[in-house]
Amino acid sequence: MVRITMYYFGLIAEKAGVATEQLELLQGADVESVHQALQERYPSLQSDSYQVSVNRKICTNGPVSEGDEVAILPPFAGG
Amino acid sequence: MKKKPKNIFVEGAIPPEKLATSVANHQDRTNIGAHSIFLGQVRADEIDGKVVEAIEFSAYEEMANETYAAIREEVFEKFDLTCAHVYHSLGTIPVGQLCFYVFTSSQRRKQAMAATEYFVEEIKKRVPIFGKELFEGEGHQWKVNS
Repeated sequence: MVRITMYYFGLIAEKAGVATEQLELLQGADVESVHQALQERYPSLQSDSYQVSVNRKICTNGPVSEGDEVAILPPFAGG
Repeated sequence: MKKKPKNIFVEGAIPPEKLATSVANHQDRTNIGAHSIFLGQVRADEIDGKVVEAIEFSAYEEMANETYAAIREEVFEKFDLTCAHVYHSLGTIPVGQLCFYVFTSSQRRKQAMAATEYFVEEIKKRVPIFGKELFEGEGHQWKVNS
């Protein structure tokens, strides 16, 4: 198992009801696994647009490792 | 040890006086010929008959500051600046108050003007800051940059 720390923001945190939690994914997990786990855990997010960051860098694909910091980022609204 | 990135965040609205203080603080830098300033102010948008009375800003602060540091490095590589100062508010900022402050200085005007524009556009696009638009009365929606 791969244990990661999830951080949620904005609308995503509102729908999830939490700002942070630990998730366990299967060995060999990647960004796609994160999407799948999220959709299963929070089905209301299915129509929402978001990006995934791994260790504070936006990732569209690639592996996710034990201890990684993964954030689910809704559209930005700075400025 | 890795240097901790600058923190661009301030709690609450950016006071208008900050601008005057910045200008005053640069007056002894006699190689500066121009400052270029952008101020973002919270606007009373009307959405489906409801009026925004404030925006509550939050951010993924560590990533935001790291991303800002990368943007700042790009700015200093692309433009010949003497200095740059950027701040963004966190918390609830009422309509009419300032939430975003970009102040660049250069010997000649074109560099500062181009740098300020670059900062504004890249920060809006790349920095993980989130905004909850609070409506008069009750209710909210999440702001999306265009």
